[in-house]
Amino acid sequence: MSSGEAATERSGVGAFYRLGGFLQRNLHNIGMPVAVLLLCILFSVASEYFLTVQNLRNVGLQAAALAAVALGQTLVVLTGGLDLSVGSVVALVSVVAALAMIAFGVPAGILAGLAAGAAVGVVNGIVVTRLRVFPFIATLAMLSIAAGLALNISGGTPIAGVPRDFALIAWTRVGGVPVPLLISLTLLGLVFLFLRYHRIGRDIYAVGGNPQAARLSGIATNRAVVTAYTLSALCAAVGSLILTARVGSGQPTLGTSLPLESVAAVVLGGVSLFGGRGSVLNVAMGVAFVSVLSNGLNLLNVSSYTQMMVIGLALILAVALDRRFAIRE
Amino acid sequence: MTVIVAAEAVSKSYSGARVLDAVDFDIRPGEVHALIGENGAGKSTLIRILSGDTQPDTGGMAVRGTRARFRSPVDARASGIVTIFQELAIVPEMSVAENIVLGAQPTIGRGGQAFSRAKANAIASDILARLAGAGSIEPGRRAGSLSTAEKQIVEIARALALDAPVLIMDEPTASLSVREADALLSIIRGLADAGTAIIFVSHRLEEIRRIADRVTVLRGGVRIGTYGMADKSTDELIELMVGRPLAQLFPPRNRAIGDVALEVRGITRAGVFEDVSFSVRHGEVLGFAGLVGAGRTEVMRAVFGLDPIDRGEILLDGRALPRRTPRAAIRAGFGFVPEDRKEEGLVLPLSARENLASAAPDRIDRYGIVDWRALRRETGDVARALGVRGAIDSPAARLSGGNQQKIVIGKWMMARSRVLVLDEPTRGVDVGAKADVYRLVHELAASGAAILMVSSELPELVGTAHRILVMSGGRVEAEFGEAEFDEARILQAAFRAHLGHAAASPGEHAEASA
Amino acid sequence: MKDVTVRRGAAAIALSGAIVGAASGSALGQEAGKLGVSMPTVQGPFFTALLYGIVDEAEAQGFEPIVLDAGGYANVDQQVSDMQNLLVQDVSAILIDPADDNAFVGVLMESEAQGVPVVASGAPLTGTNAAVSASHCDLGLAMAEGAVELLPEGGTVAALTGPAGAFWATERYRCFKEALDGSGIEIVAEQSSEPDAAVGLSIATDLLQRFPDVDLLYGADDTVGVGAARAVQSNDACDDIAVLTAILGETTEELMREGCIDYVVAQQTVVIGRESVRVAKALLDGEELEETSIIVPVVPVTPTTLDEVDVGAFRQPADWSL
Repeated sequence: MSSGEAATERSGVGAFYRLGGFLQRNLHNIGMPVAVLLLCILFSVASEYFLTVQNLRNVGLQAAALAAVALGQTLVVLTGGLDLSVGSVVALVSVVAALAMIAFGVPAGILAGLAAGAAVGVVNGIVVTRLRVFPFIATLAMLSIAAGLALNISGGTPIAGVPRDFALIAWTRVGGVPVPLLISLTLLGLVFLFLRYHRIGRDIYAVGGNPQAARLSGIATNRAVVTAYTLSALCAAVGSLILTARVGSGQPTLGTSLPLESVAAVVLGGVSLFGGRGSVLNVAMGVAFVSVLSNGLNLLNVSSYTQMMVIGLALILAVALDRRFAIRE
Repeated sequence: MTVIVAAEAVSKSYSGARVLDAVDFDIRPGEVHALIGENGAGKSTLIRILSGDTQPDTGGMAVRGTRARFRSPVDARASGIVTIFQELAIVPEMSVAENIVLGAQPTIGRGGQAFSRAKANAIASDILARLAGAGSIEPGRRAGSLSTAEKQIVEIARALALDAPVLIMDEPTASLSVREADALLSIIRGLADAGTAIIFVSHRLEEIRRIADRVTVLRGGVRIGTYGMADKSTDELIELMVGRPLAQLFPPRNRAIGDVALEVRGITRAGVFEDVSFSVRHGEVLGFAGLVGAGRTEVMRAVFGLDPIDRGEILLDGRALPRRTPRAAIRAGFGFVPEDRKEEGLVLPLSARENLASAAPDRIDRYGIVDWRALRRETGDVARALGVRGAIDSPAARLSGGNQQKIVIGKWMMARSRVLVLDEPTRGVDVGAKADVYRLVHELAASGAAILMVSSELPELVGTAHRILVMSGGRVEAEFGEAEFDEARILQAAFRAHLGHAAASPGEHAEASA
Repeated sequence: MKDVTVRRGAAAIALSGAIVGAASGSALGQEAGKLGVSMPTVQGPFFTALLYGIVDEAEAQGFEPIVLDAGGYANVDQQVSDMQNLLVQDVSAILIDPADDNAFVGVLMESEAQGVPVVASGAPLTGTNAAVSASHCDLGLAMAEGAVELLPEGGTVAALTGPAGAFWATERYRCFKEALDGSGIEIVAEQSSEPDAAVGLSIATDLLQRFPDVDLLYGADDTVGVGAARAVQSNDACDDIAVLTAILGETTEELMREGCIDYVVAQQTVVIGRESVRVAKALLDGEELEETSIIVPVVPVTPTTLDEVDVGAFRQPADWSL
């Protein structure tokens, strides 16, 4: 009897320890979904409008562009780099796509926009690998270059006259879900599959985890890095097309807040800034967190200046937690 | 002799796993007390407790008979315990002297606010002079420019600067060459003879035999026993550590030798190595002996395509490689197990499984798409062959040093390398894992791979190689066949270039000819 | 002058009304519902004055105003999101000062579907139910008249044209330029920027470096206008270089009294704000509007007429803040 009790107690303690160990190992995996959930509960209580179909649809719609950009950002951060140029890639793609669309039709416009984005990414990748410029500086410089290019091409003014069919993409729903959100969810699936099943996707993890070891294992490290930057810019281009459709015009100043927000979403999603560690599914949670936070604060009529402070604080918190985990491992 | 520091029945658990179970340990002035055990035996945890880096769950500490609690390394230091960890704490941008006096900077002037560079240099010179063989380290040099061995000496010098009564050294000789280790051991023995109490952790039992007075064996977090050094043979100590009768450490050599696999003809890299030629056959293990800095690692890096060469030819199965890059070398059948597995061998955040697969993409993907089932199957097979203990799906960072090293070797088994370079393959791994590494070397050779093995541990070269090349001063100085293996002659050859140099110090003369 | 004091008094009453309103806020709010207000930015005297007019009038009419700020002219997409966020909150009507004329087609479809009337306030916007603004072209024309008055013999102008792509800035500058055609006044430089005094200052400083002999600086509104005046002031050139701008904020008034701003075309910004709210109320009450595009006239101000104008039509009381 007593030995039976002892056994029960022991297994209880064991279960407790196992749970503790599981939490410790997986906190960075379950932390973000839990945070998003808590945030949703908080805003549901604070605002009667939060938990309405229309608002949740809005959150999805508003998150779509950030999601696309953050997915690309994830690839670069996984290599241990940073892509600050996404902000002006969005602007450049918006202008190029709008102009091409007006001249040659919607499909040509979309292709031209994607091509312009990819071109910027290739240049970023080459500057980082061949010229060995630190990613931070290389993409900060590109942020300025692409912004200037966008303003020059557009003459500094928005480009009106984007075909109505294209603009309507942003306002169409399929099965109640806004099309931009569907586009970003598809992109999420593609990036997930790329990272998990494509050789270069795996190489990106290896290069970010230890560039020396990756090179000594015969991995084409430069190819992996250039691919990451190219796909990042391509994802930003998709985000830009979503925004361009949304505002129905080519905007040379679109996307200024995206470098910060995309990095915030990626880091909140638990991707290590040192590279090599992180999952794109968690980044989707990071995007959800940023979008829900922004939407909820809007509904509570918190000023945009205060919102900037809140996003900044969340970012610091996320990085601090990242450091803690990095040290523990 | 009175006990200075004692740990009494200390226990420690992490996440429910007990890593230290009621362990007693003590240290007396003037003795070298060795602490040995396999990786995971609890040595590091015990050292961390003694140095105040972590606190025991139960049990306590006593300093000179008085109860003590170390809340931080600062407390331990205040009690006179200084620890030199394996991860060297050198500030690369500071001078050697500044590093040595770090934490106790000499000052000048009223209020003692101004750092005195002159005093620091004087203290540093004085201490470095006491460390025989450290004479070449200038106090004014930038610490970042020092070799690993020299940095180690600077760390020891720093501990000496504090005049600590208790010194804990965690594998201080792990990254030193035979000669440097030799010098260091003399220093340590000297310190003990002068009254310092030294806790010494090492995997090299021959070192422990030379300098330790007592030895404590840990296994699985439990203290197996503390013995007078004279009371136990090396074999007995190994058996106590691994907990089972000692099997043969070195498997028999492979006898099925094939054609020439790799031929290196007269390769030269100005200022690094000169006119190096050798060949190795399929199934053969070619050992490379020599001092640190003799150019062995550099030759291996050049053969692998990592570093350029100025002259010479490298032929694999009679053909030159199309391009001299690691990628081309790997495609042609080369494998490379670098000296520093954490820096160069493994992608630590990735799973051990993926590390295994990283050099063999062609076996696990089709048209660039990774076939996870094939990857699991093939890496599972290799992991079993390696005898890796631990979860191979968790990050490689979580594996022990020995298992990590097996993964790095396994990576090239996955890639089916035909010529494999092993640079210090057993550095920092425990005895059990060492035996595994030797077994793997044998199996690889038996399967027809040609092995180039660089090692600073002569016994392991003597125990595994078919032939040993000795490098000295960037040249191949001698070659010994299996029948002629003789540690004394090999050492002599290793020092030859130093003897030849006019600049060689008398000290080196004496040491080498002794 | 007397008029001003009266209006200040009225503002004080309105303010205490707001405090009372806060106490019994819901009762007041229920009367006319919520009034959504979407602004591209709330920085600068124009927006402060506009928001004062809107908020003050909204509370007087029994609305509960909800003001959202997109954080800058560059954040067009944020302003689209803000519109959606207002629609979610069951507002009765929305006032919007659009950052861009093309961007709101989709979201205006949504508001129409929900039956929420939208009034453009400050600048016109295609697709809205009504618009209340100054005619920015008229404003540009009035500024051109000012330029001719300041430079009767002709001369050179450097222009700080305001945010690229903002309707008001583009329109204002276009009409200004057209009116000067053949007047003997030549524009030697033009530069667009965010509407921010600090940005205006650094651009103007550079322009003065490049064109030290320029006769007149054009500042599209009183953010870049104030920047331009400060640049002239720090060059000690208030007597030599004239500064022409629009919107009469407090700083503008000060600088005009110091002789560093010479001509201001004032918008009756507060009136625009009040009028937009009245139009929204009328739409909600189902009244038929005689005119859906309401133009509030502009008022030229020079140092000599400064003391005669009704400041209460131009800007908020000194102690008011959002």
